[in-house]
Amino acid sequence: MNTVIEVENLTKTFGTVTALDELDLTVGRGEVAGFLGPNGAGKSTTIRVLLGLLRADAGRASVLGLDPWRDTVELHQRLAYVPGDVSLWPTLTGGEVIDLLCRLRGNVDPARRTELIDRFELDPRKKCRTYSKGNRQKVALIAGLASDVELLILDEPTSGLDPLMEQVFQRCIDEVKQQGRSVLLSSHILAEVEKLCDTVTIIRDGRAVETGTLEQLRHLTRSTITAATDRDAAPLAQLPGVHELRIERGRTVFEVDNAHLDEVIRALAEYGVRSLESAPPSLEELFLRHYGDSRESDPVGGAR
Amino acid sequence: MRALRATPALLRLNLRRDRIKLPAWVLGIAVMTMYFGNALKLAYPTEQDIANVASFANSPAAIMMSGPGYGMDNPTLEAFLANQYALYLMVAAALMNILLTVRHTRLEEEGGRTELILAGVVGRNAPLTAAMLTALVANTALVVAGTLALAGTGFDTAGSLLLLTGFAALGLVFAAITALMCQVTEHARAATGLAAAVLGAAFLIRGIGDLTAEHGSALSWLSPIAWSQQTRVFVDPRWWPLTLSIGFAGAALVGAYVLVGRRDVGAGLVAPRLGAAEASAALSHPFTMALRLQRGAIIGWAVGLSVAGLFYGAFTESIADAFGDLPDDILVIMGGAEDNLVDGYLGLMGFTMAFLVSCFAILSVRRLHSEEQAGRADPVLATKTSRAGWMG
Repeated sequence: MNTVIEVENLTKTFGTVTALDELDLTVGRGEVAGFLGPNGAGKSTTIRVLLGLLRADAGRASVLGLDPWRDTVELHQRLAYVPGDVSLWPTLTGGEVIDLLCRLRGNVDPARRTELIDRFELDPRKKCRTYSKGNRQKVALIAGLASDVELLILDEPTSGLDPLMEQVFQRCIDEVKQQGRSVLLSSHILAEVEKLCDTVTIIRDGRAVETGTLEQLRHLTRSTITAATDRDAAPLAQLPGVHELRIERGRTVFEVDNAHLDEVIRALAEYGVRSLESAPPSLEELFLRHYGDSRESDPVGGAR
Repeated sequence: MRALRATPALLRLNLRRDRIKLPAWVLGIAVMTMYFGNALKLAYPTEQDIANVASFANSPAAIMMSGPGYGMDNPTLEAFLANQYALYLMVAAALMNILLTVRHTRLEEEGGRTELILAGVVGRNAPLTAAMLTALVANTALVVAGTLALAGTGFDTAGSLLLLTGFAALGLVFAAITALMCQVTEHARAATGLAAAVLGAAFLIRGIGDLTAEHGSALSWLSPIAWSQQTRVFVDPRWWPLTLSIGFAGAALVGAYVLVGRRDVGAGLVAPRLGAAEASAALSHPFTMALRLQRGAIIGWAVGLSVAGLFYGAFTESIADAFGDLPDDILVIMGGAEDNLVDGYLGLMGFTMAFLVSCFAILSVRRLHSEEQAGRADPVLATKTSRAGWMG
């Protein structure tokens, strides 16, 4: 596969703290890749290594075929970056900052700049000092999206945006995707990742714990089965792959590892099924499985 | 040259941001220079007046606070200005450069704006280079404005140029020193403190050096301030000591560039350590909070002032001896009679110390403003703390 980001065994320590611990990450061309992880998991550190702002201690990182630390300037001509915590120059106006950042990158389409300011409903004449967090975020987003680049690296780009602006952002990313450009999107908003991303990488404590398409990830985890049966289906709890079996309003509810789905459904049929619902795991469940320490012990294995 | 990409754009950004601040500093120092010159003309209209007051300039305490004393045996107005007042203007020029350099390098980095800039097509060394060019522009402007102001009011043009170039040379030295300090620590405030400590040390070293020998000893030459003072401006001018300033600035800058090329953006050389997981019991009131937040500054100032006090104390004896020959009007300032000279001297030093402590007090109270600007006052004032209570 043609890749835009390739990271292998990336390790980065700050003093005694290990921020990245042999991290692997791959983003294919034309893909929107979601990058998930709890606070402090190493998402921003990874992104800053990919931008050549931090030097990795070990491992290999390649972005658009270039070494981010060595070929920083060449690389930055072909990508745009939007940080999650945007700090701007208090005495400059929003419009001035957008132009400055665009000029520093080059490849700017002025018509697109105007269009984006319009769509994000930003007043570019106000001084940055007076902007709220959401408005500062818009400034960085407009500057990033206005440039005609191959790769967008977005670090929690919608933090502080209202739901309406989040929708505008999602439409923008859809357009970027249709143009065949690639996106690395670090986010906490699962609905957003579910809507936008083709692939997802979940990291925790500086390691990739899960990676693949949403479909693949779903397959590797559990579905929730809700069934009404003629006879008490409680003995199903003994089967391998069945978890948290309980009775809710007369119906049997349990979770099943997708790998065991076939056997469990066959066994369930023995009890006389009158109704059956199966819900695929939401990204939130995937996420919680990898974040919550109590459920960490479940071996899920690497995907792809 | 890749590493310098976009430097001109960043220089323009710096000048745009400083369009009020830098002209204010440059004109402020230039006008003060002119003001001192003309005030001296009014205060001491005759050669005899200057000779009288210059005898005071040869006392050890005065040497500490002035210069190496070139031309003070037969002083002209120009030489008196250069020896007595240039030191303060030099310190002002150094401060301008320290603040300018921190503002455009570490403060930007600490605020996360450098990250935004460097994510563009911008070389790794461009922000530092742009900051140094900004300093160069400011110091050049200082030379032009100051020379015009001073020469315009009747001072020797070549001498005025040398005097102001001396200010600018010291300014560049401190721009480079600050650039180096900004690589060592990841906090702008700490970088400013380190650079200011170097300035304080330079002040003290040239003072001690100039005390131990007439026109300065070898020790004096260890201080960048001395290089600008040893030009013997308005007396027997020479330009070459300023090459030391430029050479030193260049060397410090090379060090800064080496470090910039190796370190992570946002990081310093000194890795941050883990702190306490819980607030100590004392940290429960705006006053103790202020103590905790300014802990470093309080310790730094206490150590600095103690060293200064030790130094003043150690010289009490010899200085009191030297005062015996002073004219009567100076004796009045120093205690009124020869028996009281030590008291008088210590009183004067106590006054100097009180002045320095006031500087700390002003800086400390200014934190109220910066805390409010940074939005850190809001969460505190949203608690049961009242506005007046927040002031500690």
